[in-house]
Parts: sequence; C-alpha cells; structure tokens
Amino acid sequence: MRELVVVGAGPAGMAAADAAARRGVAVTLIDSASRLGGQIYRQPLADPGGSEPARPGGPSLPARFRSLEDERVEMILGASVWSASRAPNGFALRLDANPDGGGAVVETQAVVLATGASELVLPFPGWELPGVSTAGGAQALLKSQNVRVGRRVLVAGSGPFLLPVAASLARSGAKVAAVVEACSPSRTMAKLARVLMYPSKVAEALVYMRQLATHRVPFLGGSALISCGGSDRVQRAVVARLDQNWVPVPRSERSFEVDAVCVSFGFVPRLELCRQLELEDTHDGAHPGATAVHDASMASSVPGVFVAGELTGVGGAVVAELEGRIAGHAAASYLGRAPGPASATEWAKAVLKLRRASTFADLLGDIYGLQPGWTTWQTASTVFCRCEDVTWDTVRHAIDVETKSARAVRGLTRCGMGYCQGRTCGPALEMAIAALTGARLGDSGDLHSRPVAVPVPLHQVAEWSDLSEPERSSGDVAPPDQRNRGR
Amino acid sequence: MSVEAAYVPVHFHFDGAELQAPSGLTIAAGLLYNGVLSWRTTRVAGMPRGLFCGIGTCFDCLVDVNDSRAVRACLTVLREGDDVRTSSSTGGPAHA
Amino acid sequence: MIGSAIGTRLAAHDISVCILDRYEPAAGCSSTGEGNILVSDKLPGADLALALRSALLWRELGAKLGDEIEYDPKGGLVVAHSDEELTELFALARSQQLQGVRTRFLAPDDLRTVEPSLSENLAGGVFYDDDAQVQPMRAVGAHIAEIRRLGGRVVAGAEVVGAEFGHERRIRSVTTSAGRIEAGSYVVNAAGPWASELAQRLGTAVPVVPRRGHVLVTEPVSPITDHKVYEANYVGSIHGGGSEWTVSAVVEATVSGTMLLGSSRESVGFARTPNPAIVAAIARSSVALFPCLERVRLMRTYVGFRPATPDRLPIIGRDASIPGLLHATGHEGAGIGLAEATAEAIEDLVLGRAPTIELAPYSPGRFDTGAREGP
Repeated sequence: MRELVVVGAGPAGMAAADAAARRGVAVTLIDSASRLGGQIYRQPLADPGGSEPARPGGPSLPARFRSLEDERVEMILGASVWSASRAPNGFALRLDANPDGGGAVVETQAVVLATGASELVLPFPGWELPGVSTAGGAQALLKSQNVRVGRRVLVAGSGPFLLPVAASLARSGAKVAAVVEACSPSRTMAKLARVLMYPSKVAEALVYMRQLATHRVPFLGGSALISCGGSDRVQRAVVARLDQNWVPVPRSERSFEVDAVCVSFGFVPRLELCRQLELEDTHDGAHPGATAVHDASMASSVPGVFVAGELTGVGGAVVAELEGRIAGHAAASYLGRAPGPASATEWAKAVLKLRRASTFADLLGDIYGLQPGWTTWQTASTVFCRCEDVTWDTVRHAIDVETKSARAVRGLTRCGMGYCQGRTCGPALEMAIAALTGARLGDSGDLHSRPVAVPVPLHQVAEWSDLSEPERSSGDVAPPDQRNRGR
Repeated sequence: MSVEAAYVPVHFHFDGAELQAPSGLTIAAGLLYNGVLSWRTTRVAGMPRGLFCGIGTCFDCLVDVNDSRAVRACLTVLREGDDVRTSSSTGGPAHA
Repeated sequence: MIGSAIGTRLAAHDISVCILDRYEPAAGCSSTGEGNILVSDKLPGADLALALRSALLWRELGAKLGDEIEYDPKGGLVVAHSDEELTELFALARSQQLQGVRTRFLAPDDLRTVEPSLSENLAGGVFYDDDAQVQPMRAVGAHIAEIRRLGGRVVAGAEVVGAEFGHERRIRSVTTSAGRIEAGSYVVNAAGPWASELAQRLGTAVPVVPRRGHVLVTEPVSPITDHKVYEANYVGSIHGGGSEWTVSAVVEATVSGTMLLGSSRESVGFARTPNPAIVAAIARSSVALFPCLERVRLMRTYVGFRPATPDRLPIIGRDASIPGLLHATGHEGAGIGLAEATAEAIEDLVLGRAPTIELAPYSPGRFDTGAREGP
C-alpha cells in the first residue's frame, strides 16, 4: 500500500509530487509519457539513437522540477492508468505497465489526479483531410521532434494558444499563411482595462505578436476557417469573417493555398479517472466538458482524492503548478504529516498566488467564448465523428428527431464509439446538442465517463500483479528502468 | 521538412518503400519527415488519415508496424528496420 | 424492447397505443445488453417454450427487417472445460432437443472445425443452430417508428409516479412527470428492472430485482468468431443466486468488428460504476476460450441491470389485484430474445384470444401465497 500516487506529470502533477515528497510522504508519480513534463513541457520521447530515455526529465524540463529526478519520488513512466477504483483503506489504480507482460495494480491511501486536458476541435468541412492537425499536435511535433507539419500552414480556431503555436511554426521556417481567431478583437478591447492589470501576460502576448509581425503573418480576428479542400490532402483553406455568433458573413470568404492546417478552440479537461472515482463535478454552461469540484486545498468530494491542474478548469500552466503544489501539501496533511513553518508559508503563498493567477484565467475565459454559429459551417456530409465516419447529417437528425442526450446520440449513431471513445467528437457533440436545441450546454450529459480510461490489451486486464510489494512482484512486470515504450 | 541537427538515420519500410528518418522520432514524425501525410484508411468509409491530435488521444494516426496492428504512430518510436504499413483501422492478432 | 414490441402488435390491430418511458425508448436494458436471441441457455419446460416461440417470431421479423435491425441467425456454441461439465451440458442439450431445439454434439476436434480460434483446452461442446443476434437499439427504433406510423403515441420523459383509479379499481389515468395520461382499457408494466418500483407506485407488487451484468467491448478486429460462444457454466450462473458475483464467459463479434465479452451477475442494486475485478475476470475467462484475444485491446465496458424474478421465469399476465393492469417483465438476461413472444402473449390477452403458448407458468399471481388468479 503506497501513501500517495500522483497521476499526471505535467506542471500540476510535478508540483504536487514535489510538495508532498518534501513533507516526507512516499510519492509515486505516474505518467503515460516516458518523460516528465506533460503537454506543456514536452520532452523528446527517446534519446538520440532512438534509445530509451536515460533520465525522466528531458533536456528542456524547467530547472525547478529537476529535483524530482533525485529519486525521492518513485516514478512509473510510460504507463497509463486505465482504471481507478476504491479499495479497502484507499484506492486501487490499474496500469498497463508492461506492454509485453501483465498489467499492474497500485494501491494507495491517497491520490492526486492531475491528468490535464485535451484539445477542443470543432468539425468543419474538410477537417478530416490529411494535413489537418490540432495546434497542440503541431506544437508537440515541433518541440519534441523538430518536425514541421508543413511548409505553408494556416493556424485557426480560438484562444490564446494559437499565438505561441503560430509563432513557433514561423520561427521554425514554415510560412504561416495566417492566424485566424474566431473571437473579434473587440472582445479583448472591451476588457482591455482588466487585461492591462497583468503586464507580464500582456508582454508575453506582445512577444508573440511581434514574432508574427516579423514573419509577416496576418492575424485575422473575428474570422474562421470554414472549410478545407484538396484531393487526398489539404491544399486549400477557406476563411470567412464571422458575426458575433460565429455565423459566417456572406461573401467574405478568402481562400489560402496551404499544405497544412492547425486548429484549436481551447481545451477540455480529461475527466475519466475523476468519473471512475465518482468525484463530484460541475458544468459552467459555457465550455464543453465538466470540471472537478474541489475546496481551497484542492480536496475533491471524495476524501483522500485531490485534484489539480486543468481538471479543475482550464487555466494554463501557472495555475496548474500552483494548484499542484497546494494539492501536494494538502495530501501530505491528509496523510498525517503536520506542516512545519516553512511548508505552511509555502502553502499559504501558493494560495495567494493562485488567486491572482486564477483571475487572469477567468478573464481569458470571458474574452474567448464559444458561440453556436459553428454549426452553420457544417454541410450534411461533413464528418462529425472521425473514428466512425459519422456525418453531421446523421448526428443532427438524431438530435432533432430522437434525443437530447449525448449518450443516446452515441448509441443511435455510433458517434463516439470508435477508438477515441468520444474524446474528439464528444465535446463538439455536447455543443451541437446545445446549439441545435437551445438547451443549456451541459444538460445533454457528456461522453467523459469511461470505465476504461485508455485502451488496454486484454492480457493486461486479465493478469495483473500488485506493485505494492516490489520485491515480490510477479516476474512478468518489468521494473521501471527496463520498461519499453509500448507498441 | 525538419530543422537540421546531427543526423543519425533510422532506416525503415513503409508499405514496401525504403525510407529513412532521424533517430528518436516517432513513426508519425518519421513519415511526415518523408512527406507522407496519411498511413491509415478508416473502417467505415475507407478515407485516408494521418496525424491529427499528435498526443495520443484521437487515435487517427493508427498504423501497423511489425506484428502490431493499429498502434498510435504519434506515440511509437521508430526503430531501425521497422516494417510500417498502412492500417485498415483494425487491431488484434495479425494472423486472424 | 418489451414495451415497443407490445406496442407494435397492438397498434397493428387498430388499438390506440401510448408508450411511456421516463427517459426515452431503449434507455434502459435495451441499450446495455448484447441483443441475444437464445434457446441454448433455457431450461426445458416453460423457460424454453417461450424462448422457442420468440425465436421463431424474431426469425420472421428478421426476414422482414433484416439489415435494419442487424438480425443475424449466427448460431450459438456452448463449450465445456471439463468432462463433468460436458456430461451435464450434453444432458441439458438432450432434454432441450425433446422440445424441438436443433443441436449438434461436438467433440474437441469438431469444436475447432466450427470455431478455429477456440482454445485447445476444452472438453467439447454443443452447437445450437437456433441461437441468433439482433441490434436491440435498432430493433426498438424500428418498433417505435412502426408504432408512430400506425398512429400510436410515444412519450419520452414521462415517469409514472402514480395513478388515479376509477370504478372497480381500474386505472383511469396515470400521473407522470409529463402530466396526466388517460389509461384506456389496459396498462402494461414493461419497466424491466424497475417494474417492481412501478408496480408499487400503482398500488400492487411484482417481485423483480436488478441483477447487474458487465459487457466488455474490444477494438475492432478481423473476425475471430462467427457465432456466439459461451461457457457451459453460464446456464448455472443464471439460475444461481449467491451473494457473491459470478462470471461466465460469453464471446461474440459484432457487425462493426468489435467483440463483446461478458458476462457477470451480481446483486448490487442499481450501482452504476463497473467493478474492475469483474472486468478482469471476464477478460481472463474470455482469453481462456479464445487465446488470440490476449493482445486485443479493451476499449470500454458498461453495466446493465437484468430484471430478475425469484424463480427466474418472466412475469407475463394480469395483475392479481388491479383489473386492466398487465405485467410484461422479469426476463432476466433474455429480454431481447423473449420480447416477441411476450408481446404476442400480451396481444392474445388484450384481444381475448386463446393464448399461443401456455401462460400459467409466467402468471404474476404465482407469487401470492393465497393466489386466486390464473393466467
């Protein structure tokens, strides 16, 4: 039985592990990637030569997280938690720890869930063409592998994430045809007084804008990529101006020649493990997906389970790290480690900083909103569910005629039943139901409840060994330093 | 396609063609490096797919490699001698 | 499934029909099962009689609607792990044969001719030609569409919370979350595992309790099996009743290429969160039947609640105390398969026809110690 398992090694998880370990807790940090850092501090998956990573922290891991490598913290990297459940005296997490052997079970008294978010993408005609990727995917490719998605790239969608991605692509030598932001600049202008209260954030944005200007990348606000065309890959991108509901303005279309397109409309928390542990979550009615309910010490509604990072609301890396630190402290106290004066001060400081950082995240949420007009970009044959090739027409018919429930639409149309189990289309489905029926976003339910959080081979489901007693673990689970990147 | 660095090549096959890519890349990155944008056909409509989310959540980038079927190309590191093949979006034992 | 099947038959006789669901059609058991139409797992006697009749009716419906409802007369293979199990299985099969079930007795070598991917460690099995499969949500959808076409009403989001009684204790109207609805001549309780709750709200009782099951869904794979394959101890697990959970492997492929793996039974009320230990046990026993499933990935799992009765026979017929109230429930894990014959039985009752099959064994009144009522 372990003391504390932290699931997710992004800024939230790393900060939680660090804070708890410094309080004397025996911490286990689990991540499905082979290296620390999560999405935002992406590290190369392999060392040069394709060999297994020699160190859990890759070359560009921020220095303040380096101390995690000193082996105070047990790391199980390259393993995904597919099931989290209650166990006597705590919780049981099931992992696909070894791709060629059995799975593993880890039992623990307390858990910090820091599983982050995945990208929100809204369908549009031609989005399924090869060469269309998410902004995050393009960024990951560039940062961890030095590979560009294309030579002439259009970056489109909504949200602050478009800027750094476009800037990275421009700096790498790609021609960025345009950055296309659905929200009108007037929304930022309307909140300008509040935005200016965060000078470091403004400076950051200005750096990106300057880089884009240097590379002559046009910024098209209040506009959207409404369709892509090409024979067997993307070759054309059509951008139109939008009204405030995101309905395209007639005759405002412009066409760009491209060989790649990157899209992003924000992020959606990855809630599977929260749902498996029956944590209470809440829906803000403005963004698809739900967020885990927590108190000021990041404790969830289930005693012993703490949440941090994007799970509590998409707020970015700074907020995530602060929440993680608080969660680590709270978990240590939960496990009976009274905080000394230094820890108490650190904890209190994190709470104060979090308040300020959160208000900026909220401000961004106010500026970047999602409007229902995206449903008018679809044609009847637009692919809505990429995995199962379910068209917009099929989904819309199910919503109009049959049901307002996301799960029922899934059952009727197979939307969300493919390999990705609704991770890509689920949020768009929630939004489509709200847009088409006028219901409050969230009333349709969502597809985030997944008792199997990641696909796992049946032999790992069937045979598992208990990782609590490493000396006595079964021979078919390799120790951490010998685990392969799975196929 | 890529920002040049010290280049240690990995040689592999894709649908029979001989290709190479810098070592340490994922299969998806290695294919993109070679200008290959799609390596899968969808189950229902047989449409081409390649990289989409790039981080392992969308399962669009499924590829067959050696005796594994329908693995995520964006997460799987490319190794010397890999036999990479277009996936038909079906997993399970290669012989069944 | 039960309700919509009944509705279609009655509407076809120009009877004005109104189907109520507290959520929407197929929101209950119909969306969480496997779509089994089995005779193989039925005990001889009343259990098997209903199943045989229903399988025939499904065959007819399948011929009419085929692809739309994905009706597949694929056949079922029941396998035994040991000689003792095989002896019991053969005995059951022989007694089922006497009632007209088509069976083929298979030695281990024959097993692998029928199912090449089966484990080599099996003692033998029985093949049942009459077992079939359907896609339940589509079947419900087809029935609902037909009911509407015939002028019937389907009201979703209407949860029955009570009733207004008229003369002689007939139900005059039901009170629902969507308003009051006139009852007409008959009210049918087809609420599956919630049938006892509904009965209580109407002032009567039927002994139906939920029996939870898990289904595992794999990634799409090249076909491993063309039939439904399950372990001989499945029949025992239906009729067992201990407090611990039981698992018995059931493996089949679907049109979309995914494999469905079951089965489990436990009494945990309506608990919604799947039990990972049960998921592991189903995985284990499925891989024991089909070793090539080892590397196939599990994509999702879901639970459903079977309506179980004390003697494991359905409850079909007139309520003992409320005139005009009929029950059509308690089908345990066989609701889809038994739906058509159940609907026919209700049709017989409502039309005043001689029943197509003997209905006494399914009578709601059989549970009253001082029962006065027949079928």
